[in-house]
Amino acid sequence: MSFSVISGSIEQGLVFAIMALGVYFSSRVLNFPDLTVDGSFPLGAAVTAALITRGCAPWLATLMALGAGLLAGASTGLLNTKLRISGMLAGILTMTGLYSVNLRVMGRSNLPLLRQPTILTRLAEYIGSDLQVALIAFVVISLAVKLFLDWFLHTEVGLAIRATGDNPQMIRSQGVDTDAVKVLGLSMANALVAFSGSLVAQHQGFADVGMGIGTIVVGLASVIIGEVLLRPRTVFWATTSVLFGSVVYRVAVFLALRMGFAPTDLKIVTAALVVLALSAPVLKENLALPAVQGLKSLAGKREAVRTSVKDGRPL
Amino acid sequence: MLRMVGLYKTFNLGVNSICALKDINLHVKPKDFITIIGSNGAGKSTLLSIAAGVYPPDEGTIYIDGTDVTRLPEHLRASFVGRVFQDPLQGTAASMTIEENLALAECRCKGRTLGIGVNRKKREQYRELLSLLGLGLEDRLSDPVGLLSGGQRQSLTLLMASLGQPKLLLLDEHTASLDPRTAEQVLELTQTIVHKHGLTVLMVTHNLSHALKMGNRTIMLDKGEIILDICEPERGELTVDDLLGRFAQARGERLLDDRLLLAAR
Repeated sequence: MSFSVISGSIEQGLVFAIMALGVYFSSRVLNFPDLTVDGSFPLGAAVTAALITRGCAPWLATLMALGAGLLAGASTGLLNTKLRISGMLAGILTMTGLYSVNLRVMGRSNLPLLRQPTILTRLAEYIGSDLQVALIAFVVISLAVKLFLDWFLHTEVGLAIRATGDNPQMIRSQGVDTDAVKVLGLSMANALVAFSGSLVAQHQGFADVGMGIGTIVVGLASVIIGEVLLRPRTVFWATTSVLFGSVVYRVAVFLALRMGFAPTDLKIVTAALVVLALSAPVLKENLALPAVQGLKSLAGKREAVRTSVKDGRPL
Repeated sequence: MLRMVGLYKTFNLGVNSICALKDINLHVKPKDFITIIGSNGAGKSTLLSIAAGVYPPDEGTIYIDGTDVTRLPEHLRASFVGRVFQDPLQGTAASMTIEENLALAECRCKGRTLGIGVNRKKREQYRELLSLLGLGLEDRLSDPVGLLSGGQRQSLTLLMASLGQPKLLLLDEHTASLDPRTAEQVLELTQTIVHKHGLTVLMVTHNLSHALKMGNRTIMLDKGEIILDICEPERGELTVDDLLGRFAQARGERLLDDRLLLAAR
């Protein structure tokens, strides 16, 4: 594998890791099955592309994407907490609504950003070279987001958010309005997802209304792969494992393509990867245990033979 | 301190409605330690939940220090109410560390900011607090609470509930799911903490001898009504058998469930 292949996977892995950090926030910290992600990811892309093509500064267009994601998350949160719609359904409803919103924002189903300024081209101009600009930018941004989450989840407010995901009844008795915390958490999570969508659009040079399909699965894949590989016990390691899992996922996708899968097969490859990662503990138990037990019983027999021989007793 | 006037609460309005509380009037004086007994379904836990603001009563008013808090939701009442639940798993966040759980409780009174939850100074304070428990938890500050035993978790919850000296401490059968020896230790700890901070306490228990031994006043609930309310010094002369007798007398029938009887012996 040449460096360009690896750097491409790392680049992709890191820019999508920002989305995966959002999924980590909602699914692991808040313990909320948030499907808004499939809508807020293209929302970020759509808002950024629409604004840039209208002449808005790239940094501002990116910031607006973050804000749009915030609102999308708040919508899911309010549907769930104020209108008492189940979490899963609240996310699906927002996601479905966002499809129309995204089409409205873009005016059509695909919006190219060719020859338009993006934060990546601006960065390249600033550095004076476009060699590995995306890689450098995404390393810095994803690390910054990770460190921000590490800090935030250790603040007093952050502790309350984590406790809300862990034991809502307990944290209510400690004076926390769990409804407000849910809305806040989902808003932040989807802001990250939209931010990631915005960067992806600027990186690949277009926004497409269909680019969000399966985002939640990719996000979960990254979170779960990271968990299986690194077994994090603290927030710091959990966010690290999300970055790591996201890059590993991209490498796995690259290998799948190399094995001859068509790009259209990627969704099922992703789904299979998630199934594999999720079932890893069960598979390990079922496959490894008989083998281990076999060995143990063998060892037991050998021991029995040995002692009986030593004692001069017949078997 | 705490005053409940004419409280009614009914669950499942309609055919299967259960009348949990019926015209409850209770005046709790500062530093009162009231033990609450009664058979299953008598309304003991409902009374505590309403005091904590988990749900509002159908009718009636609740005053804390003269302020009407009837409609104040749970999370806003938390700054002056500490609670320990029956289930040791309920009072703490299992995936978070001991020090983080203590920080969560400390913020109950002072509110939450974007300051770091656990810093070196707080860690020292927590270490000192935990050493009072005598369970060795002071050396395990960064262990997740999920690793602790039921008794340890319940002791920690008790410590958390007493942080910031709440006006009211609610104990809902907090020793019921512990083994007898651990239960005694947690009760002792309860006494110590309550004494030290001069707290006002409502404690639900199924153990009649605990009910008479602890605190200064005992009330008995049945079918949502207070059928016995006895303070010191009269309470000092009461025995468990008297209590059972009083119950039968007040009701004119024998309704005590097995659990209450077993706990009495």
